[in-house]
Amino acid sequence: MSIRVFLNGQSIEAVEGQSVGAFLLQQNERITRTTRFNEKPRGMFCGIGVCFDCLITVDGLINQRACMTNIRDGMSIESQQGSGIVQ
Amino acid sequence: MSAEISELIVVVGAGPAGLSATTALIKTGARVLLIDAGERPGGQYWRHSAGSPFAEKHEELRIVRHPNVEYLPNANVWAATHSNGLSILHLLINGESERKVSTTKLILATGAYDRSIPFPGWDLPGVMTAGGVQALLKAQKRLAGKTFVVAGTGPFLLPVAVGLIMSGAEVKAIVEAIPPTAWFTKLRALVSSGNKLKDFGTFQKIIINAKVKVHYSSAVIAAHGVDGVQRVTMAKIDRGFKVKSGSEIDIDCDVLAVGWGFTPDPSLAIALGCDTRIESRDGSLVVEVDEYQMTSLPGVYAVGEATGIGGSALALTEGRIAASHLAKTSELMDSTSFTSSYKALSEERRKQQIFADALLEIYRVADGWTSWQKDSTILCRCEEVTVGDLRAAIRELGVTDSKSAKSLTRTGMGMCQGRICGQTVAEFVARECNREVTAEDLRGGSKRPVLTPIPLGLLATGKGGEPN
Repeated sequence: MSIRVFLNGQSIEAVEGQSVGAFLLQQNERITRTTRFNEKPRGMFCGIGVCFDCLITVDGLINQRACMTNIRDGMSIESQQGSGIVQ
Repeated sequence: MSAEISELIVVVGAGPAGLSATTALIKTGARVLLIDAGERPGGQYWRHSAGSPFAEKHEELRIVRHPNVEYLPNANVWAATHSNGLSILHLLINGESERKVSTTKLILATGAYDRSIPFPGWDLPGVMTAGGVQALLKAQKRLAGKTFVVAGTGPFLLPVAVGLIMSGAEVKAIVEAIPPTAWFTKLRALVSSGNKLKDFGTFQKIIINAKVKVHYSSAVIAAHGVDGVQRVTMAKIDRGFKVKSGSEIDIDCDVLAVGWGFTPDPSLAIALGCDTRIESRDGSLVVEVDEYQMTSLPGVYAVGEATGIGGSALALTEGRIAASHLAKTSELMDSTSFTSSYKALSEERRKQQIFADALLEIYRVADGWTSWQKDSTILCRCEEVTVGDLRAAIRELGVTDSKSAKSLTRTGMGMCQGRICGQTVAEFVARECNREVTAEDLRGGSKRPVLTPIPLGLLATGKGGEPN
């Protein structure tokens, strides 16, 4: 089924039944966040929920794993900077 | 405590080991609560996409629909305790609700994940574990990129490369750390498992037909790129994994799929208080079990990869053995049936163990990987601790083990709780201190009072109620 999700504010049509990580790859985006200390880009690493590297903000909730979270209609996905906490 | 609790057998993990235990238990008339972190049964080995016909392929996968199975997917055990034979598991379901489960009969089948070894650039987006790349393909039908290098060591690299080839990706190279001749030392053990060798032959054929070059005695020692990997450096290595200088070659790719075998996940067993030991063949920390797959705690069994990396066939057998013994002690199976079933199963396990041990010995990761590192290489990805940070802490702060490394450099203190760097930090510190890794070193990195991150609000509301 076709749904709409918001990636960094932009409305995008997507297919249900996939993870945020898989959806991002389809959009040619493999960076989910930058790190807290060195501001380095990170993306999916272990792909199975173990490493907590593909952290991303989903519907305002920080530090969600892109590989373990499924996309839903109306979901807002925002790439995360540092700790993800907006000052 | 209600009678229902004592009758309920709890299985944690719905990969091959946990599913086989569940299936065997159901056949004896038991009722099972099957808890799994995944959204579909199968674990890593039988991972499949939503609605895939694969879900019907094995009896073990279909068992989740049996009326005597209460199947709880998307459920993480976030805390666990054990006293006087009673195990209490705290579950987080769908990331939002809590449930508490008590049982005197517990089977742990918590599995394993890819073993990672650090190298310069391994934190770049596009560097993924081999298992991660395969999981994306199997569950999401998505390629992680266009051009791949598959590297590391072990028989698992072949099905990963084959999956990529069959999905239309360009595999630039397969980079295997050991020489092909390493097989000759274990020929007898390998030949004993005909079916596995046949799979291996099929994979080799596909790789040859696709004209993918396999580089032996080689390793990817660095990844390069700005916002993600664009190029990797491959080098020849000796049997000790030391780089032969001057042999470096660069290969362009946008994904590096890298795996160094697997790391067992004993953390739930450790939280309960089960004894663990070092598996000398691969240096991993595993749950100690007896001939019936029973741990050091009464009524708690462990099966599959958490007791030592051995592959799915061995995991299936171990699941059946634990189930039979538990059925016997629960008076669901008489002694005579148990004895005959155990005799056949233990013989099967013995044969499968010989094959598994041979593979672990062939594909052993040697110490020399520490020599690929620069001071700027990230060691702990979560806390961004570098090799240089750890070396300085050993030199100047008197760090001598992973516990002091953790408190003085923050290695293993991030969200993965040392799952990725635990073994490498322990080995790195031991090596710099000229000593062998001990089980205590590894236990230090696997002790996790909170096994998986949970929303703080849940703790604050105190939801969860009474056991069951």
